[in-house]
Order: sequence, then C-alpha cells, then structure tokens
Amino acid sequence: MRSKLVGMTLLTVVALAGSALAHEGHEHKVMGKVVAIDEKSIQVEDLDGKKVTGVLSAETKYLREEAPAARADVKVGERVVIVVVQEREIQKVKEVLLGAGAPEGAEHKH
Amino acid sequence: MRNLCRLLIALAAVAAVAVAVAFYGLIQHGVSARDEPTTAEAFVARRLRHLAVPRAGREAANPVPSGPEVLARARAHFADHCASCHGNDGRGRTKMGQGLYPKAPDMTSPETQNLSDGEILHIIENGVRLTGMPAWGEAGSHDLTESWELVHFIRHLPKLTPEELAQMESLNPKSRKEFDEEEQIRRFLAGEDVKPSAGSESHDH
Repeated sequence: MRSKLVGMTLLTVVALAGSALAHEGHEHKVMGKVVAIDEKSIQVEDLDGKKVTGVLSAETKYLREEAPAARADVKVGERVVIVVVQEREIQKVKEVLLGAGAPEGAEHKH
Repeated sequence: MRNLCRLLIALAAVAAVAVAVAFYGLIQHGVSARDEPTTAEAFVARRLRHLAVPRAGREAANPVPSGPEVLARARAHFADHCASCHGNDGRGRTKMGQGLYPKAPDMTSPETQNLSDGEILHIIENGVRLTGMPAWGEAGSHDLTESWELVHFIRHLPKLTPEELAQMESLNPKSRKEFDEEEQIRRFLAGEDVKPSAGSESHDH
C-alpha cells in the first residue's frame, strides 16, 4: 500500500513537472531590456535578471506603440516585451513590442 | 422465403461484425473531441443541418442594408461574442474552436460562404444541435437586426484587412488578469517602473 502511494506520488510529480516545463504551443510574454539582437535571434534580460533568447523569423511581427515596425528599429538596451511560443526546444518569437522610443545611449545593432 | 432468411442472417452477421469492430475501436481508442469527424459523419451532419432550417427561413433575404457603420457594429459584436471560438478572422483557429467536436469551421471557406443569408441567420439564432454552436436568439424576441448585421460581417470575413483585425483584438473579451497584464506592459514600455514580483514573464493558454 505504501509503495503504491509513493509510486503514484512520483508519477504525479513527474507528470506535473513535464507539463510545467514543456508548455508546448503556449504563449509567453517576456518583459525586459534587449541584450543582443541579430538576424536570427533576440536576447532579453527580464526584470528578474534572467536572460531569455528567442528565435526570430520572417513571421515575427514588430510593433512600436501598435504601429508596424522592423527588426532594424530594435536597439540594444531598449525596453521590449517579446511574445514567444515554445516549439519543442526553441522559443519562437511571435511579436516584439516596443515602447514610444529608444532610450538615450541605446545602441543600434543590425 | 429461405433465401430471404439467409440474406437477413448475412446482413445481421455483417452488422454484428461492424458493431464489434466499432466497439473494439472504442475500447482501444476511447472517445475524444480532438478527433476529426469522418467524411460520412460530416456529410450526414451537413445534410441534417440543411434540413433543420425551414424552407422559408432558408430563402429569407437580408432586410438590413450593408454599409460601413453596419459592418463596424457587426465587427465589434463578432469580436466580443463569436471570436473566442471562431477567431477574429472567422477561420476557427482558436484553442476553443479547435477543441470542439466538430471543430469550429473556417467561415471564409465555401462550406459557409455558399450558405444562404437565411441559413446563416438561422444558425446564429438557433445554434446547431450536438455541436459547440449555441443559439444566440432569445425566446420572445423578434428583433433580428443584430444577427442580420452579423450575416453581412460573415460575408465580409474573406476580405478582412489587417487594420480591422487589429481593431478586433482590442475588442475581444479579457479576464481581469489579462487586463492587468496589458496595463503592466503598457506602463513598462512607457518607461515606468514595474515590479519584478508582479511577473516579468507570463503565459497564455
């Protein structure tokens, strides 16, 4: 009886951990500052200091205050919110939301 | 008489085998709303839906003239009431729409666009039994203006512009959490201080 209970608890823990880590297909929003950006990816340092890297693609939408923008408008050091979708091991960036303007001293990196 | 008996026995045997196979499949696979309806099931369902609309209703013409104001009202109505399942673009690619059995249809496709105005109105007002489509009509209410306006909007779906879609997104129903999150993002992008504890990372289903 005891071993059954332990087994079931372990199974539950493994199942919950699996679903929590995967989040396949779910959207995540990451708020933070751009650490690096190139043609293929963007790295953002979130408010907790954690660095999150997302993969950019032709489907990635860039919006500055709801108006269309481009990757070239994103500057290192700028505040952004990225909307990422977990697809297997990669975090695909669906949207990059930008504020009214880049902060002073922010680099423009292509 | 003897041949007839043999034929009936053979038919009964075939039916019994079919039931046994179906039962075995059910035991093995279970029942899931994630499955796609079979072609035969979809065909029968479409025929039944067609028959469920009275002839007079099927032939009813839209009495509301279309125009920019009518489309704007219907667009807002659709974004608020219908988009959770059908999506703002009417293609049914939403979590709820894809989880229904049958799945929410692509309303830009000929299967919907070839329905008459009266049929679309009947579906909005009366729903479709054994599907996720509810009846939006109210008992005792005879004002069909809003539903006729929606019929115009459904006809307009294949021509929706990105600007219309963006406007609809702002009109979709939001939970308190989503509203707070949007406000937090707005404040953050405006340069205000946002506490990390409030969540610098969030996820949506």
